[in-house]
Amino acid sequence: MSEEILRKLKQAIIDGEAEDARELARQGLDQGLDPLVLIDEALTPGINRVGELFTNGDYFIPNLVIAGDAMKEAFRVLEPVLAGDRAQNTILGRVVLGTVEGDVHEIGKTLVGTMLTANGFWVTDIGADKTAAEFVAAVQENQATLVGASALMTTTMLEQRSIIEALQEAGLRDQVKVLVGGSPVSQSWADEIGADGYAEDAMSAVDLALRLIDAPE
Amino acid sequence: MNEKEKVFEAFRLGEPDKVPASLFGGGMWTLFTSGTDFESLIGHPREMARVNIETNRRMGLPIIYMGSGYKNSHIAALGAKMRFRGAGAPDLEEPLIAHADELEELDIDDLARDELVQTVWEATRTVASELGDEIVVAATAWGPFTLAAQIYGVENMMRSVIKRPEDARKVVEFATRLATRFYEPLLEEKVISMISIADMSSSGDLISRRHFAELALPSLQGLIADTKSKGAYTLLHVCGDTSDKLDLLAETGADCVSIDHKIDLGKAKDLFRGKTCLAGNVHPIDVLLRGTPADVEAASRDCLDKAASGGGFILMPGCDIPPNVPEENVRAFLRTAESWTA
Repeated sequence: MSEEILRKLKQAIIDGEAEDARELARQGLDQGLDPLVLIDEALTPGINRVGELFTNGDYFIPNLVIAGDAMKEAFRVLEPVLAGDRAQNTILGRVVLGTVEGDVHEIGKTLVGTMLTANGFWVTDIGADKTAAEFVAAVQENQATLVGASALMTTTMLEQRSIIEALQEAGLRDQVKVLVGGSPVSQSWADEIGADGYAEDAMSAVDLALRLIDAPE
Repeated sequence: MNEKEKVFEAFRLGEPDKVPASLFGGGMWTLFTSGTDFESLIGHPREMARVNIETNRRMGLPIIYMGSGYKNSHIAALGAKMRFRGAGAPDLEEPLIAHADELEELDIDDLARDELVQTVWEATRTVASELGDEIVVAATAWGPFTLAAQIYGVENMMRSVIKRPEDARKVVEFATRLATRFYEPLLEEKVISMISIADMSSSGDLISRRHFAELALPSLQGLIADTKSKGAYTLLHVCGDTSDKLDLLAETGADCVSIDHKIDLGKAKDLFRGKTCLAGNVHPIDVLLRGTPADVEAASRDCLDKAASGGGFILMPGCDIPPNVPEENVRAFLRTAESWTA
């Protein structure tokens, strides 16, 4: 029976069926399933399958958005019952995520947040149009070890450099890895501004984040 | 043949004596290099015209895109709040609507009552009377699907494409009427000889071929056919990786399709041959912004070698250029086309 729920919940994520995902998460808890099992064996493989379908060119941004909606609905049911300590211990890293100042593009950054959350990161999404100082404050407040800065315009990508400089000035640069992304951004830009990595899409952002937290200090 | 005739000769798939080279848009760059910004030109059509005419004369560009960078004003005119960003193009603080039903409360004629839209219209008339015989004077707006995504919010639009396709369709239809209303007086008065359509959200990086065909293509075809019936040409640019829908772009009816730097120019040329003029695709950031003039020459020559032979080609950046692209790089870009021979 629990196998059946896990399978259906995973499928609800893949299909982007938010109401089904919420209902199945509830049913799982009612049947005594551990919320972490529901996450690890249904939500995460579900969203990673969505990522694969995107990488293969079968899925596009609309599919990612509705899959993200479905995952959030399920999380909303599961999160309150995750035992505090246990949840903390399974976190791979704390991420502060945002879109840079002057830039209102939300969608790419939100999808990165969804994928990172599903893969075991604790994500604080500070939203769009955020100053370097707001990024720094969020890093301090959340004791983050990863920062993701998104810029979708040639006029705002310079702000990614400002965030790295602000982290340096605040004495935080050594404790965080900085990931940059967005359509005008490239690996060579990341190298030029001294970011720790560039990811082309939400799926590669997860791979990059996993690599960076394993990287020796 | 003057610059305007050369561009239209390429549009008709002919081979002018020199390959035309043009920016796409260029509003941010024009204003920044002229030491002004978007906000300060509102209500000053003569100043807007002067900045555009002077930049055009200084650089010798064959196409002028009036309203470039101001495209969100078409939505702001209906009640959304626009935020000005210095050198960057102004954007919207919030989408105009949260639900498709709200469209019924909107009046498209508010566009014509907006001060900024009127400024662009009036400046376009001045620019056309000054330069309209020698170069292509165009006006520019978002493509219907992109405009719809700005009206509705991009995330909401993406969700609706699958969850509420009827709503998505309604917003796209409304956006088509709004874009048409913007071009209307300039086409009817024969002020502009071309419309430019920028369709970033129809990008293959966002929506599938099927959704493009169902939602974006019919509205583009309608807008372009309407423009043709009024005696003007159309240039269409779609951002991102459109390699899976290049054949559909050639079916929009656009006289010229400008493609992103992510696309293989040679492949596009093969697909477009005999159907539509191709424009592209020098990298606007890695080459035009961050390269040297020699880098620009090499990248431009590479594009020309791939796609210019046989005509029906315009050398263009792969998208609009950032405001701080060095003028010498734009000159190197234009010079390379000027001196290129097959």
